[in-house]
Amino acid sequence: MTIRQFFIASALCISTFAAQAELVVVTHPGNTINTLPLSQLNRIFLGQSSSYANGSRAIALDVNDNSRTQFYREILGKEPGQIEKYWMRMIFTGKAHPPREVKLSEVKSVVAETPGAIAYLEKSQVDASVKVLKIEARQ
Amino acid sequence: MSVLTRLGLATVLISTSLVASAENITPNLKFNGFATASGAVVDDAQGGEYLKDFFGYKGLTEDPSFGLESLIGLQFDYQVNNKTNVVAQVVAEGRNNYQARAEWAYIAYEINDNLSFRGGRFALPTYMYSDSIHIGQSYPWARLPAEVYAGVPITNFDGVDLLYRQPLGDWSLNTQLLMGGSNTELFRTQNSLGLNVSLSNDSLTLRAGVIKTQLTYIIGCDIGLGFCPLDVKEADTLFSNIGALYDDGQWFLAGEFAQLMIDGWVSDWNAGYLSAGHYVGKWLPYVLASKVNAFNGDDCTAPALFGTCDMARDYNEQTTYAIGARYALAKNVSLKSQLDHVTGFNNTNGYISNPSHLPDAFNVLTFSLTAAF
Repeated sequence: MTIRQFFIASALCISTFAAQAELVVVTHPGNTINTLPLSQLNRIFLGQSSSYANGSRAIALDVNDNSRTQFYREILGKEPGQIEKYWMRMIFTGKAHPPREVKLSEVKSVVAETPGAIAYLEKSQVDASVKVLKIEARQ
Repeated sequence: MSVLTRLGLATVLISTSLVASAENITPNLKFNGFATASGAVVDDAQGGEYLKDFFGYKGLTEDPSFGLESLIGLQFDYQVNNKTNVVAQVVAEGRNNYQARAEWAYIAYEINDNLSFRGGRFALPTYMYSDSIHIGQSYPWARLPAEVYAGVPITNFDGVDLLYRQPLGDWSLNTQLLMGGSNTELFRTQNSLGLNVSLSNDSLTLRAGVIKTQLTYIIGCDIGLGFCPLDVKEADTLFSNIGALYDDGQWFLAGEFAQLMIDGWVSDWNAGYLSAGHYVGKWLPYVLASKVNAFNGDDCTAPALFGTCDMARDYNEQTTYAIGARYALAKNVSLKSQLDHVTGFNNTNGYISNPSHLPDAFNVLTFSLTAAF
């Protein structure tokens, strides 16, 4: 594999940031989808879409700790300032509200009992109560 | 109720809101609030008042005002079920003695992921910032450019609309189709039909819209003119607007152009503004230039009493050159200061009401604190 191919392959993977724990996107175990395009993940977390490709309801959950900044910055490519400004505009134009916030200790249990829920977790925290979604980056 | 008591109530409301919005009352009811505290002074108001509201509320003068452009508002969003929610926005403005009024009150129904339908009272989508017109936090300037934004004196309408959003890769295409009308003490609009389209991504928004309506003045005869301006009845009116906004956290660029044309002797106008700013840490210094130009359409049929079309029109021209800066005090709290140089009246009164002479150039200094929570 050439260096160039290696970097392209890495870019297509969502994780691998040595300094912080790897984050994965998780959903309710009953969710029939296995993958989600990055653009759709973006739309769900920005309140622009409330369903998955199969038509079922998507309920985004934000985690009330540092992983939130990491998720937005590294997976969605958005800075906290951008997100704050975006939500302020969305709320006050009556268009959408930010995702419900849950404590880190509750993420797994809320995702496990809420059909359609979607959130983010450290890979090491994942267990059978939640399903990991593969995020497809743009080609 | 005295102004101080009202302000006291407002403070209590803000403090309880700050606590309450951290956790919603119930998961289905969310509420948010916003407030602006603004003080402004004019160096020479030409013997009159500057930016006096269309409905007659006080304007700015050489006496510093600390409440005129201040306001507080609350917004409620109640999720009835997966597809339906009810939104209400209540605003209390200083110029109106903080009397609360419903700016919005509507039911929204989500037909599918792309399409939703609303009915009730909501923002009149005349301009790019019409949806957040009272939210000082949503724009950098101390006030929305008056030359453009004061041209249409109403901010909401009653009716129905259809909102369509289409994702296009990194972009989002949003379309709004509306029908309805408005009723105020001074005029009424009916059979309004509007369409606007906006294309946006993370940093850039491009927008265009038109609203067609029929305007009727219901002002009585006793407005001190000595005659009745009865000749505006279901006058065909066309409002059009284009705008662009670029904000990438480094640069801020915004511009809009609008035009209002009304059949008959009421003057038509076109107006626009351009603004540029650059983020430097928590500061956003900016410059703003805005201008309004009134003209009379070829269809001017002035009532006999007026004599000529020139005399008949209520027309104002002015240009503002402003420089200012916004400082991000905290998340969703900003401090703004702006200095306006208002000129270019072209033998009209501009936005000075009851001047003692045709206005010469003057300056306005404004400080404001805005918050959203």
